[in-house]
Amino acid sequence: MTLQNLLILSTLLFIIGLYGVLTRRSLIQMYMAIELMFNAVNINFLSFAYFNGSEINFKGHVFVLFIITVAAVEAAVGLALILAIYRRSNTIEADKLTNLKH
Amino acid sequence: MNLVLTAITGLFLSSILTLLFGKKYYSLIFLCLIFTFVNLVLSFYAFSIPDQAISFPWFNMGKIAIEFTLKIDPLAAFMYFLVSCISFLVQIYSLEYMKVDSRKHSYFAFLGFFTFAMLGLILSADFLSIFFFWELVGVSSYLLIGFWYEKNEAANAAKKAFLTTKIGDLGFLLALLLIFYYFKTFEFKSIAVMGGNYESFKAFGLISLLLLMAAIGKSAQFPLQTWLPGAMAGPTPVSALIHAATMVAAGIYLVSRVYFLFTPFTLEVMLIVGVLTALIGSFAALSQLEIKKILAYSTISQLGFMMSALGAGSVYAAIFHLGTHAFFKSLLFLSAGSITLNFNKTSIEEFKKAKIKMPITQKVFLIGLLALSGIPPLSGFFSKEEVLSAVYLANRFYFIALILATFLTAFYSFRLYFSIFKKEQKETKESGKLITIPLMVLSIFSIFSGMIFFPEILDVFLKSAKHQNKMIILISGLLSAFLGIFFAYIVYRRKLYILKMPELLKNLSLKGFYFDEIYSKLIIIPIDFLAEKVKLIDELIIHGTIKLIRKATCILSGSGHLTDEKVIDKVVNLSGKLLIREANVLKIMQSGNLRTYLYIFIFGFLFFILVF
Repeated sequence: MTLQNLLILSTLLFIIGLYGVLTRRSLIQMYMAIELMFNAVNINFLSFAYFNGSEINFKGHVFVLFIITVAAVEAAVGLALILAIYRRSNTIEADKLTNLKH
Repeated sequence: MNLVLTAITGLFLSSILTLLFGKKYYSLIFLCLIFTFVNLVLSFYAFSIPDQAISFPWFNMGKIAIEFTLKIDPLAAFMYFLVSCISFLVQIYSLEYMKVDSRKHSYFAFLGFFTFAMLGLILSADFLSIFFFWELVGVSSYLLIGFWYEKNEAANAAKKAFLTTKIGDLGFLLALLLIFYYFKTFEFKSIAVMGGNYESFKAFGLISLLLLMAAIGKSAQFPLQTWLPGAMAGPTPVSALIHAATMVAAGIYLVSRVYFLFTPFTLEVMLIVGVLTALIGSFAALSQLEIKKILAYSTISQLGFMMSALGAGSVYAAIFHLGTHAFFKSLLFLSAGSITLNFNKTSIEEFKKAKIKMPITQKVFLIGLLALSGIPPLSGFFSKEEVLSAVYLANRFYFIALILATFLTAFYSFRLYFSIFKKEQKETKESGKLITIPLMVLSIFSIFSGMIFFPEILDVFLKSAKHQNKMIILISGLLSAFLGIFFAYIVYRRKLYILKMPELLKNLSLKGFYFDEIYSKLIIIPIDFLAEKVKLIDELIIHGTIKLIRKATCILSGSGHLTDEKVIDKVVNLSGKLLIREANVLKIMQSGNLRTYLYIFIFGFLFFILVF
């Protein structure tokens, strides 16, 4: 388990998440990909925290905790929004939501 | 000194006021008269006070301060009296003479202004102020000669006078430059003091020649004497004041003032010029027909006498003659004016058949002519003797020339008298008091100023050291004068024409040695020719340019609407199209589609990371 391998892992996860956000039709699928991106970032931080520093270092862990918390909150908010959108327009496909188009 | 300044300033202001408001407030004219009289009175006072000077700051050139310096000394006081006296008498005379003129107020204003300028010139004690007043006097002369500007003759004469004296003024200007360059100051006193060493002496030589040039211009000497006969086109009182007594004396006065500046060489030149002028003037007066022209040439001749006296070394003789000449010449001019006013004739020819009598004018006219000819005991005799003595001591040959000039002077004077006043006298007229009284005053001066103002002369005369020389001078002077009168009597009164003057000489005299014609051919015609050519070039270039511009503008404006359509519309349409295209591109960004926004966001972000 070298730093490089973990970083490659997190990058790949991030790219997969990115790909998911850009290509999925459903809002929930998009959201799941975003979560994946969060996790990728977490792995990134933790790998740096583990492999860097001669002494035990907890700065990375703290930040990861923050991210997890925020992700959870965001999940709640995001899902609430999706629910609201569904109630309003009866669809959750990204392509169909074009109210902002002139 | 302050009183003098006040009086002079008062004169200046009154002349300006008269010029501006005289038409409405006619009585302003009398203000000029009053101030002139005040100046006259003050001049007596000026004789009694010791030398005084006063200076006014004028401007600064870096560290050097230029000031107006005015000074009263015996010479200045004498001239002060002379100018104020004659100016005052002329102004009184003019009240009658110019009675019917519509622009009287300007006339008196100009006279007042002239008097002011002349007085300033007299009192100046540094070169720059004297030059300042010199020019002002020239301007006044121009204004007064050309007073009746509707007459072409007068306007041209005024221009001629001004330009000819300007040539002399060029000399004055160059002299000023040299003076400042060498001495770093303009004041007479300082320059006189500095004039000790050799360096200054060389400078003096050149400066004095240039100043002589100025005097030649102003005092109508050879070769710049041509303007004076023409100046007779102005009113007669003007001729009396300016061109007989005062302005033309300014040149003589300048030389006298800075006499220390003149080197032997310049004095020699001055003597030659003076003698030549004396001869030219008296010769030309012989055959002139107009009364005023005779008197004008006579003035030129007498100024020549004064100049020769200066050249011979006697400032005293020159100033003395200047004084007496001022009185009798102005007397002659004013009486000529009186004659003309009454009989409406200006030339001798017109008087050929007339048999006139003018009780007062005739007598004073005779007195003036006797003084001019140098008959004792009139003033002219004494001053002329002084001049002749001075020149005799300088150069025998020039003395003989002046004796000849004296003879001619007497001759033309009495030619004038006998041609106007005949033995038979039928028509009698006389002018009013305002004319005759000044005439009488002037005649008194003409008679007595020789004896009274310079009483020493009588003593010197009767018992002189160089008995023999003095007798020669005395006898030749008297002889030439009496011979002149005698011959004039024979020819013009008795009508015995013993000598007929050859046609050539007569024309030479009449045309004043053809100076006008020579100058015209030599200078004026070439310059006119050049001026015409330059004007042509001017037209060519300027007109050409204007035509070009006009053509270009026409072409441009003719094709205006084409330009409008093709060029301007294209530009406008193109910019519109570009705008739309761009807008279409940008429209994509505003799709309202979430995914599109995401794409743009991600890839834009990546782009920025990678590039920067």
